[in-house]
Amino acid sequence: MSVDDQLRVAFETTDESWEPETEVALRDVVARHRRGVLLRRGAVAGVVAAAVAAGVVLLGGGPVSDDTAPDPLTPPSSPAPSFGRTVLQGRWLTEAVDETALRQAMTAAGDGAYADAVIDQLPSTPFRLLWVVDRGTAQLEAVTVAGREETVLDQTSILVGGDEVTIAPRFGEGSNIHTFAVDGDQLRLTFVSTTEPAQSGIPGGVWQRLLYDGFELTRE
Amino acid sequence: MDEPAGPDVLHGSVLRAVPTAPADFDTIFRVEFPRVARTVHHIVGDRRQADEVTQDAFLELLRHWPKVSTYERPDLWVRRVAIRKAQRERHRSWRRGELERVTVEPAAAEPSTPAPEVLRAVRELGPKQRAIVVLFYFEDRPMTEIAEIVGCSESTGWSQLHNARKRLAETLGEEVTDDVR
Repeated sequence: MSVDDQLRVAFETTDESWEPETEVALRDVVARHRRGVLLRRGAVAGVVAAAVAAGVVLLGGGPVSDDTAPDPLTPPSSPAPSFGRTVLQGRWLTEAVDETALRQAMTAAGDGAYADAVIDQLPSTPFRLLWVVDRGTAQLEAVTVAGREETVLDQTSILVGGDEVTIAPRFGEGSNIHTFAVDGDQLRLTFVSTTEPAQSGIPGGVWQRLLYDGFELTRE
Repeated sequence: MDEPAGPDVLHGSVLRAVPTAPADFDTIFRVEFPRVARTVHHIVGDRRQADEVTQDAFLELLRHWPKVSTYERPDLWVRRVAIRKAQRERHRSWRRGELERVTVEPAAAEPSTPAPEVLRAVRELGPKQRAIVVLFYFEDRPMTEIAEIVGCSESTGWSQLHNARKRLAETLGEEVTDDVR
């Protein structure tokens, strides 16, 4: 039998077991879509509540230009969190990262014991990490050095207040706090805390320290 | 073919009411979900992953529905998203636990087929060749559509299919017959 005939035989079966699962899948997809919207709305509500409780002026809600002067009513020592355009707005890219660099970064963060498990779940190296921040949402991607094929690693809502950014997965539990420092076109994040549960035995903080803090980001 | 929309569209949904699925989205979902899932199942080889990838693709479709619903072939758009996600599936797992909903029996993990050794050989192909073979032999799609779905020229699609058939012939110990064009 020729290869073509073998392929046609191999693919001749139509698996009809997907049809009964379609309604459940539709409900799940719609529910996930709704949760994504609610999460972002929840962030808005949380900011409003925090701002009211603190008696500060809310910056978020609409686009704020990067060069906007500080609001005189906002205490410099406790700026209101913002989900609008912030200093983080834009596309931030690391240098190419290979497996050695991943292991070094994890060892430096005290997470070397998880290196094998983490690297096994990441795309083939080398890649660059690309963090795309657009107001209250952000997406972390691994972009292959050759061909710029991208793999989405994390889709999140973010909330910026002072030198802290809270990163919350859009479809998962918990959130993560990092401090950040922008120096010209360079950005460094430093992990503070997480309430994310472990994934496949890997604590949420391990991922955060590696993927967000492990490598300096440069504005693209 | 139109590319999936970017984060601007995602952000825009903040301004909308908490959505339910539009009726026409429901219709395309009910028709296309099983078809796309079957194809993705052949590409990734694992039912649970196929379910996840296919749902992710339709979630993208729902997010971008106001725009994609104006396209001539939203079904090709969602296939393209699903197949690209399937090609990257083994590298996207670090948040998988959060998206897991159901556990599928291991016995149901692989697609059913009278020739499992052939499907195993197909899964050893590179991601693009694998997708082209599945779309050509399983979905029986013309190369013009296949090229659009996988994002290459038609001539590249034929070339990739030719190379895939040669490699499968080697693996299966067969000779390649005439060109399938």
